[in-house]
Amino acid sequence: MKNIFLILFILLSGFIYGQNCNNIFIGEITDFHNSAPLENATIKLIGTNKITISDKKGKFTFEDLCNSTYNVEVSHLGCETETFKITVSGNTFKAISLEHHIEELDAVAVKSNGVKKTTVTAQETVLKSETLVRYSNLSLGDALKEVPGVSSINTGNAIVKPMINGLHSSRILIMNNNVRLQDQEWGIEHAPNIDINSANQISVIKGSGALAYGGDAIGGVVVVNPGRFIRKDTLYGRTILGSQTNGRGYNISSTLNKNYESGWFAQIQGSYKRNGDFKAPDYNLTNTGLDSKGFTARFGKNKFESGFELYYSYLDNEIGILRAAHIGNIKNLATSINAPEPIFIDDFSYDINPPKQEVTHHLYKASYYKRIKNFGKVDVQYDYQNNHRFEFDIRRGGRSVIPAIDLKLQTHTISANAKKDKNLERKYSFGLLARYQNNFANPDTGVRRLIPDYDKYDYGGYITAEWKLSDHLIADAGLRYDFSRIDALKFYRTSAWEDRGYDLLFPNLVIETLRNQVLTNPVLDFHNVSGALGVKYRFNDNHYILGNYTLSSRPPNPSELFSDGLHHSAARIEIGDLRIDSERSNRVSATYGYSGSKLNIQLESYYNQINNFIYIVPSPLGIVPLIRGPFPIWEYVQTDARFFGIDFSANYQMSPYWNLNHKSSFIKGYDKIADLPLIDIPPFTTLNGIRYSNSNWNNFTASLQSEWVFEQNEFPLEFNYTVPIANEDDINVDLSPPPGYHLMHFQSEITLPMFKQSSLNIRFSVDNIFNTNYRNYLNRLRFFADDLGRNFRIQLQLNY
Amino acid sequence: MKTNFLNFKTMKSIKFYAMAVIAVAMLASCSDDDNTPDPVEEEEAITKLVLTFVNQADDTDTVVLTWDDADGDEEVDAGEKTVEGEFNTGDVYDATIGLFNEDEDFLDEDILANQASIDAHFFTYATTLGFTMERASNDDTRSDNNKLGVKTIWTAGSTGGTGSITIQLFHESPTVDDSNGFGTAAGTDTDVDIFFDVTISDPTS
Repeated sequence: MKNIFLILFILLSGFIYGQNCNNIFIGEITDFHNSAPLENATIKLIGTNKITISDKKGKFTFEDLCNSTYNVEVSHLGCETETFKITVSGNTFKAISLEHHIEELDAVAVKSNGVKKTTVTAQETVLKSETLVRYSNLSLGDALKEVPGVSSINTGNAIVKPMINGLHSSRILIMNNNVRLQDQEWGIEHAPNIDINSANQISVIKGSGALAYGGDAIGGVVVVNPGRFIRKDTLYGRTILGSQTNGRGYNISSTLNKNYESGWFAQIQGSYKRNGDFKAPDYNLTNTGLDSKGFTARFGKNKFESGFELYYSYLDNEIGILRAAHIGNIKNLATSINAPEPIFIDDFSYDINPPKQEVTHHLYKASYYKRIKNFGKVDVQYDYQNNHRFEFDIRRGGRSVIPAIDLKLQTHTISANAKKDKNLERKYSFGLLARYQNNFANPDTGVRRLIPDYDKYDYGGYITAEWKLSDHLIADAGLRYDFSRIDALKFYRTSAWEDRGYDLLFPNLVIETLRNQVLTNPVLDFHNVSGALGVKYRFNDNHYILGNYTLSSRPPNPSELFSDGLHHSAARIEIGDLRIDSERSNRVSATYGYSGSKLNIQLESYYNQINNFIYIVPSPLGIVPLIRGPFPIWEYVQTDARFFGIDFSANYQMSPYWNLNHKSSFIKGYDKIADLPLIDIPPFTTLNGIRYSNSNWNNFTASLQSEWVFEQNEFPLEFNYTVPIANEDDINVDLSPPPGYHLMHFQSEITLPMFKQSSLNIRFSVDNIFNTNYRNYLNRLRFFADDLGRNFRIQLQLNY
Repeated sequence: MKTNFLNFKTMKSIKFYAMAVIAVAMLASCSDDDNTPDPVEEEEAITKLVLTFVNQADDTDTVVLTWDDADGDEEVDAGEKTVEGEFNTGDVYDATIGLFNEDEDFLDEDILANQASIDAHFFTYATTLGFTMERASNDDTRSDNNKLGVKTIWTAGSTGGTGSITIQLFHESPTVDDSNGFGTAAGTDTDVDIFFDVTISDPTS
């Protein structure tokens, strides 16, 4: 009301004094997010000597103005400076809002490499661009191992799946530029389809604290961000060239950014990686080549008040799988385990032959956000992903060129989120999501479908809150509900359908009966509730503690439900179960952090109780004779599992030049019902390094790193088996973990200034300096061959 | 200000509804797909194996070892294996193996089709009985001069008894050796690994 009188007054007086150069321009400046008046803002009329500052009520006045158009510049400490045109026609009023809390309210990076955490009270570690560039020739899974407590489960060296506190695959949710990656992640040989070179910052959140992304991240969430933009007229880029001796690999990656002060931005990035057969210390790892092409493009406008983004990313990976890992039956597996060397060792080659996989992943995203005065921010997003996976096996009669697996997974998602941050001490977010997914298993493979055709529907909604209770204490909480439905069309062999008793349990699912097969239509619904509760208490600038509880629920994935057949590289028959229900995790964690001038410590501990934990175990059905020979049956079951562990990292700056670092993680996992240790739990690992750095020598650094992996001494020995052979001695198949190992790595780099605003970074490293023979328990090819031998790498990085 | 906000909100909801409509249409159009998938014809499944022995002295005297995967589950169920006939001590038999995928002759189409296919395969045999064996002169020969093992000649030992004959078919074995007739292979990829219980009897006793 006050304003209306004011305007009326101004208009009236304008009428009276019109045509003269004695108009008044009155303005009122408020803070955008909560409409509080902004005092002490500087207001300039560009091209005149008129300048003033706003008063306590955010008001300012210019007098003696002519009827003309003026350029006004408004600046305030901590705000983005705003300029606009004002046409003074008589006495004029304008309300101006500036945002005083840009850094807190996200949007843009104030510093181009500023760290931005996704959560407040969760166990989150951020990997910055400087760290990620070191992994330019490797994969996401390799880079994430920088985080204590994160390991990986590998199939060879190019298929690397991240494992967070012992959990992997469907239990880890990966966000790529705010799009949940949908790439058949249920498969243990299916590495995330993300080009590490497209990432500028990666957050690893242990546990399911980031409810806005999903409620089923029992292991954790990996948030990959392609970089934030600076609102300024600039063109910059980065090119990385790398080469390595092991595998005779080379890689190139380039990124180019164009930003405008008006908020428009564009970015393109491309990368190519190629390597041939890797080498263990004593022999070539035949057919382990890789050919990887990645491309991303982004375009949009990023203003404080609104913005949009169009994003496209493409990745095509062709990955060879160790030739010797293609085996027949369980006797063959025993032969391979006992053989001193893999049976196929050929000369080095870049050729990638079957067995191999070729996966292409397209991701399209369109998003829009709008910041609403005195409320917060709303955004909407649509994304589409197309994941096409081919797996080529060793076949006969020229069929090796026909994929044995041909799965096309398409996912559409729409989501809308609102964030109320009017009161920065009481922030609330809520959002809705709908997703449709279709999997198509091409029948032209000539091999029975591993995963059936299915449609999947997901609907979810969440609300989260963050309260700043005092200067020391922050609390947050969240609640989420998800519904998902899988509507599948699956062929079962009649014998299998009956053996499992499905003919009695689910007679209604059969829609067609063929000779030896039935076509069924299982429709499975899952309702899941998840929640989170956490506090962060900061004692002072040095010490803080975090406490967090999360409840998360994960519906079974297609492989857990529908698996039904031979898994060649594991030499076993894997059987899913239609009756499997969601698993539910209760995770509590506590973190202590200390950061001093010389010493930094982080101690993270957790206990994760997972009821109805889904995993695959040897079936009581034992070993069945197939025409190919004997195969053990493994089946998915549900049990109650518990995981607990400690991740510790410390960094000590001994002197201006010398730095010591330490990371170690300890984890245990048990099946509580069977009273057995769980399989594939990472052994105790400790990394210790010493680094010399001298900024006077062109930022020279050199570091020596020790990686000590202990033997996993807790293994379910019941999972080993004895294969009875007719009229011959039994064959023992020993899957026990390999011995521990110790590796040393060296790394050194220097940054040379080039021409204006450009720099060249040269990095040289040696992995496995002593060419140590070792096998990694969590590499599924450990049964067939040693892991990688010594590797010299050189990388040139040009920033411009 | 308030009007602006309302305008924005209306605009927003129109947008949102539009998106929702598109999404629903999209979901609907994707899901009203009545096509049921086609069953996959397993092209490389071996569903039947026959090893036929014919007595060189009497071609009506045969021993036939058969596995027929009636239920198509690739499992060698007890009832799917049959052995017809017995061997006579000291007699010599011409043996031929046959492999089938449903009605198709798997051996002909997938193994004997060309030299490269022959080179990719190797049969080995083993027995607990007193057989000796060699590979027949008209057997197919691999490029490494080892005989494939489709056509073989078996001589029953002089003592009778019951034991087993094991048949293995190796695919892409890095080294094979046919010098003892039964054959050995270093490979770890078997397409066939099956045994039959057979009897050698002494006709004179």
